Amino acid sequence: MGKVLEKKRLKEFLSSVSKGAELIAPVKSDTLRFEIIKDFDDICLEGRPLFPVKKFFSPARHDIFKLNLADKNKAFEEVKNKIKPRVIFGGRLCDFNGLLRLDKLFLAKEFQDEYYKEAREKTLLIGINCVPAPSKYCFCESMNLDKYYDLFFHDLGDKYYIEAGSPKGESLILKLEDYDFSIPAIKCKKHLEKKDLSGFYDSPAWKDGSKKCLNCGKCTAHCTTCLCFDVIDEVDADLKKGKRFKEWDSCQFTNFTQVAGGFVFRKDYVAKFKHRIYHKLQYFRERFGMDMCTGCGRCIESCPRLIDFTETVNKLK
Amino acid sequence: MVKQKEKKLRVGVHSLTGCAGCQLSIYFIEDILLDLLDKIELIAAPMIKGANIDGPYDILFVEGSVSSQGDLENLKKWREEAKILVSLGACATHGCMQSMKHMMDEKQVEQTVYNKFPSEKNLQPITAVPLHNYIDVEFLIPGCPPSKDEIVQILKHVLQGRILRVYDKAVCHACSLKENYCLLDQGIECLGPLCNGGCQALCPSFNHPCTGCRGWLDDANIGSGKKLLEEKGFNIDMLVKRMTKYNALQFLEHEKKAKEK
Repeated sequence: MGKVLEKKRLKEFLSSVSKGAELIAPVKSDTLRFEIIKDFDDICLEGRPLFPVKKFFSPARHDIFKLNLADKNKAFEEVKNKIKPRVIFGGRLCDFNGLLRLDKLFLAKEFQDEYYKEAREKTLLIGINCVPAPSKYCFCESMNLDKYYDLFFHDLGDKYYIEAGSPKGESLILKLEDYDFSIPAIKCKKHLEKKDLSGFYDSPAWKDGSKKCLNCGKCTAHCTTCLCFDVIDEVDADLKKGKRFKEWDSCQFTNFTQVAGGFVFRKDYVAKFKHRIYHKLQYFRERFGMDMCTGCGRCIESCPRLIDFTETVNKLK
Repeated sequence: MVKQKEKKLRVGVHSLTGCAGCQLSIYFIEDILLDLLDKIELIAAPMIKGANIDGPYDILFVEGSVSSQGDLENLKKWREEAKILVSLGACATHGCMQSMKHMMDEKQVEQTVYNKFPSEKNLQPITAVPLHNYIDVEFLIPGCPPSKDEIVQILKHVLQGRILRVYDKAVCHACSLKENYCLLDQGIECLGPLCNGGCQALCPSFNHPCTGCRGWLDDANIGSGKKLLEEKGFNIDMLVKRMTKYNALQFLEHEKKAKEK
């Protein structure tokens, strides 16, 4: 059983749970984005931002090392993170499930990402249920998402029904009034037929979008779980000081698979498209037992030509 | 013991047909140029120096497109004199506006432009093309104007003996990373998905559509781009004009290939 909160008490509730922390929520200016809130009235829960929350856990560009090539003993110095505690309010189930998947990669024992780890530990996740599905491109209903959150809100008109998903979440709503309700599942118009893709690698269906794809990389930049990055060294004009930084990259660009000698082993659309989809729906499941895709539909909605991989996958027989 | 003076990198910049704005971009790095001046020597920089020495150059930036017989002769000479020759700016890398004449009757254009104001110089116009149509170049810095950051990068890389990677990502990449509200979604005819980034999506970040000053992606899907713009209800004649503003040669090549198919 969960709790209930009058809508007029939302501000009060959020300010108490985000005391001493940054509050992050969807804000509508020209478009909807997850931003650090300055004014509670800026929060907008209608629709879901086209840009995912991954930037708060691994920024699009951030420094890893400071270089000082003049000092042979200390040429590299790790850049210490300064991550404040924060609360994300208004994330959707697909957003938080995305983090659950990224944990498999960035919190893996052998390759732990310090920034990601710290950011995860310092972030409280408060989600909101999708009624109705915020975009016609959503298909999370097909993706068996986990109930992954600290707290989860469901809109009941003049109040929110709140469910806790962690002991930490539970402790935050102890004082609220009990309420008997069960959160309905999210209903989506779009559907993805889940199947084992291993037998379909040579299917002609993968060619579907090849005439349309612009190689612009928007699909991966907007993806909830795409976090491939490039590492770049840059020196200052003195050629001594400098930095090593990380920047999001994409498997949809040619240089991504360029190896010594200039050879590129995934050059054409079909190879790149298949790689993206197999990674989301096959390779990741083989390794971690879950699909990497969370069904947020952002890759479809952000694509200038609206290339829809669910149509391709549904076609495979 | 007197420390032996390090040999400075001999850097030059020369112009072919263009507006000379790229050369200006080199001088715009003045804040960094001072730090670099103990490592490089600007031996030829016609816009800021009276006495300019001929090569050899360790690194020579050439701006402008090859548009006259004189351009071609100069370019060949500079190629001989330069260890590293960098095509600087949209004219040198893609042909830019001069190459728009490929979309029209070239002879007629030349007569209109060059005969209108008779000059003692016999310009002898030839078909306008980027530098690499005639010579090998080591690196291309596209853009109108070219990014001063990239000019600094190439100098630093040469000084360090490193090879600078070619930036092959579309404008949309940096634009998405900045979380800009997509201009195409706002009904503004942006060419971002077709065009080379590396500009930090400067124009779209200020709500100005990309017009492709850094050229089209090597794997630009121009056919799909045209469909996209048509679907969005934009005037396609106007867009072809925009698409050929900097990149008429790439556009014509695409049209030729599309016909062959």
